[in-house]
Amino acid sequence: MIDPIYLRNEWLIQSRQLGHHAQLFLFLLISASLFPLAIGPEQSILYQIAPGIIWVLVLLSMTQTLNNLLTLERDHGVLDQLLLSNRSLELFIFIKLLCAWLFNALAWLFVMPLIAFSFGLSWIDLKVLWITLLLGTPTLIFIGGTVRALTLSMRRPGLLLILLTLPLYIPVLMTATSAINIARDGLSIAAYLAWLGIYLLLALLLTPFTIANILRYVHR
Amino acid sequence: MFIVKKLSRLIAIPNFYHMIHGLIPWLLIITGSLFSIGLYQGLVVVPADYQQGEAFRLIYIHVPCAFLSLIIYVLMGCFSAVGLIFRLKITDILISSSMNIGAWLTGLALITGALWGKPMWGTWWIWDARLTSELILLFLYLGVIALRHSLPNSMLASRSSYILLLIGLVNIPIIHYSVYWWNTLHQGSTIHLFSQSLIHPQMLRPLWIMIGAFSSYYLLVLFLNARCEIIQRDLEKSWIRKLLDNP
Repeated sequence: MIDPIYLRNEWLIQSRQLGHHAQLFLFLLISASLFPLAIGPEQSILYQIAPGIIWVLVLLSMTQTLNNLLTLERDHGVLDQLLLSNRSLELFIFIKLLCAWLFNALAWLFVMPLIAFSFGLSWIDLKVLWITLLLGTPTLIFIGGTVRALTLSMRRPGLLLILLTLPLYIPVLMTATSAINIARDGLSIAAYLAWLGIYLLLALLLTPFTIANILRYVHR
Repeated sequence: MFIVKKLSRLIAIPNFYHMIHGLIPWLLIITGSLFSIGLYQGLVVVPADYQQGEAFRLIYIHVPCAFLSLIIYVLMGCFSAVGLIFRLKITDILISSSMNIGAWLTGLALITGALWGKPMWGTWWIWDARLTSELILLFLYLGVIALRHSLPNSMLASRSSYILLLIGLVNIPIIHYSVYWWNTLHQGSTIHLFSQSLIHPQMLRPLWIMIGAFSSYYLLVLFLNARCEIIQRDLEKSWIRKLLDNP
């Protein structure tokens, strides 16, 4: 079953990095505020583009999370120890990504009401936004984790990470924003949520194994 | 079995080098002649389309580029899979030789498509399924190129790019079937392999010739790049020294 040591360790690591998560919160808030300043306060336009903007900002803010993802482990030799031990690397990666998501989710979920109401979104929009974020952001972190593992030998992959992950993020982005737009017309979003669920399941199941294999065979 | 044995000899880099070294002059001739025949037929001989006029002749550049951009990515995906499973060096060379031409052809497909779209559809660009997924393909190519350039040339760089290529393979069926699955502005496929094509045979023949021309051009570029890369990689090895000392 889930090894409590992994969970406890990851929880401690993440909870001691609350500064990072607060920065994420502020990044989203400030960059979201740039759009009304740039485009003009016309409420109808802001209402139209808000879901797209919010989701794109979430995508772009992934760099910060992904940059820090496996860096500590690589630098402190934890990765080497894990590779040499017979412990399950897949489980370690899964718990790591899960905890990273849990703490980042705090930032996203709490900043959303502020952004949503400043853009004039209704309660229904906000709820759909929350659901799509809940289903979509784990996928983003897990896929991003794969690309981070590919670029692990670089100290700060930064822009390269964004360049490689954004094409892979596009299906999630399009499904999520379509869901919010459809919900505005009062139609059912079940299909879109189902697709987000499919991406989520595939990411959760496949990426830990991919990342473990990358770490084992690419970074020997 | 004989063919399999012959092909498996080519995995060794010296054998592969000698094969491509011999094939390059032939490929030059084939590419040159196919291009001249195809372009002459397509641009001069074939009459203008009744609906689109002379502008339809862009088909003879646009379709081969787009077709090849997909094929090259699929080939790179195959090379990656084989390279990951069998741990070969040759696949790494083949991928690094193909990725640039693949990216160029994808870009050309998008640009010639835009040039064709303006007179026909009234717009340079539209965010429909096929154009968007082809754009994503361009980003995937550029991503692989960026990854290979940022990592030092090693087993690490090659394995990482294999995995990235395999992850991006999912885009290819999306591009191909986008015109069936979604309501797109881009037309459906005109060339059918197993039934009557939707284009007049007189116009279709130069199209096949151009597809052949671009394919042999790709092979030519692949072999030229691979030849360079092999010499660069194995510069200190004895077989290269022998080769360079007695030309």
